[in-house]
Amino acid sequence: MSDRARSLKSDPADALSIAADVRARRRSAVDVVRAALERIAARDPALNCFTDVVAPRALQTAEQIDRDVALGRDRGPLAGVPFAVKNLYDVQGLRTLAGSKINQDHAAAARDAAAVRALARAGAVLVGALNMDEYAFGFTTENSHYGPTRNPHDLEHVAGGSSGGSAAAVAAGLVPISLGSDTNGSIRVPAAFCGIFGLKPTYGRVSRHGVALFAGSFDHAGPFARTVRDLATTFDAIQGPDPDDPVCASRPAEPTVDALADGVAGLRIAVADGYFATGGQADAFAAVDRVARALAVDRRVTWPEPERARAAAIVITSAEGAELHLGDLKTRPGDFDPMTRDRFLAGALVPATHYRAAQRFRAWYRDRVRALFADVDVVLTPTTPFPAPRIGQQTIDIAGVERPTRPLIGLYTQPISFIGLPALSVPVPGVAALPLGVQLIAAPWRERALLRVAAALEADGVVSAPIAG
Amino acid sequence: MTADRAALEHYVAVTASAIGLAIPAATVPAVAENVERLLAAGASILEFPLPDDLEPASIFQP
Repeated sequence: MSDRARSLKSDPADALSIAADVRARRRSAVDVVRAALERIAARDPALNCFTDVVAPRALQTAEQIDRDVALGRDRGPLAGVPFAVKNLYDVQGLRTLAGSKINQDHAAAARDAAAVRALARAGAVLVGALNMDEYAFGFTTENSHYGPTRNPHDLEHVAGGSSGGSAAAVAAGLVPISLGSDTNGSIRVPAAFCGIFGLKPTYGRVSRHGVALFAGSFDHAGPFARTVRDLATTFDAIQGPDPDDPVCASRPAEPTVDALADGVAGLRIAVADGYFATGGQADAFAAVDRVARALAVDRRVTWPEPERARAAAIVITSAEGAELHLGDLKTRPGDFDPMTRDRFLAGALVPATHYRAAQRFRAWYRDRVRALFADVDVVLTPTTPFPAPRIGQQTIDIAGVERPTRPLIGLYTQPISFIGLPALSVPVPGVAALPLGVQLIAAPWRERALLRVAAALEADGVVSAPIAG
Repeated sequence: MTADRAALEHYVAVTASAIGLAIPAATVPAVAENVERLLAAGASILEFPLPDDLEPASIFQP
């Protein structure tokens, strides 16, 4: 096979392998980036992951990396690694679309978002911006303005959302790593549907500066990757305090890569029962069983009030999202995506008493879950109740009853992001015809525990993310 | 249309108007359906007993 033909197939090299090759001058960053751009050109028309490709900038950056490497400079753990970001991240010179038509009228961003700059400092090379649900208010990336992003495992199925482009681009091997955002499940859901790893860090762990908000109480920035090492390295590059983000914690960064080889010894792991063991299809629970067996876990824990937590998350999300977009809802409602408009309009009418009660309940719930984590370190649940539905699928069979598809997708993710817990979706292949994810959940700031568990599962072959398509 | 649904659509029309939000007539039923879900979610929270002295999750710092 010629070099060019090889580059047009998905490059199986993970991010760290690419970086090692670039630093050792076995491959040039320019060749790596050119190959990524060629893969995007060849495959993205069928997948619709990208809304912008920044080829000149990417090649210029790659050339500089190669010059630096030739001079013996260390360009970082992600030297030459192509990456892309959900189009709600500011990218200098691009309009931050956030999946919308309305934002096409905005001025171009003057500066990259903080997380984009952080990855650049680590040597990674931005190649483009990725499709999403409008203003992040969705779980499927069925975007009426820019078209749906298709699942690389089956093009007739959704990639998940709202970070669908971010997940699909990694799953298809177009780029090894990407960034998304998660408010109620928007990293975890597309990671599960696309069969890759996605990490929603602790609330306040990663700077949101330069990221278009949706519901400020719940918005998180986070990474996608096809290996745990890549996921941990990307997370380590972007985590840490940022005085430009008032929500970002002042807590110092806590690197995770050095912990990956620690295994699960000493970690107390349990499967969530009750709410998290019902309401989904059998395969979703079979995936959890497989992971639990691999970890020799037979302990169960009962989560407090998850249904009410989900209800409160929906009330707060709707009210905050609507308030953010109220000006445009008043002046140009017709320019919203029909998939989001009616929910935003409804959110504008939430009574203040409901919003306030939801925020008070949040404090109660946070304290009860904190108590639960006093004697467990990692809790397992399905990430989603079912694998990726078909594009346009309105209902889905749950235990013999047809239910509306889209509202159910966040069943297991919403109670978790409601209180900012770190959560990682790991891909469990071979359970259903399409990928399924298992959600690993830990107490605040314990991303290391999650990544240790994920690394152990990956080493044992229980979880993996081969390139799709 | 049931009485409940009529009341809900009336709520949508009146509260939207009160905040200067014009909802196209054709959209009112769909918005009302979403409002119904949100009100039900809110009701489930309001019926949960919380101590009066429980502060909301985020506390303002001057």
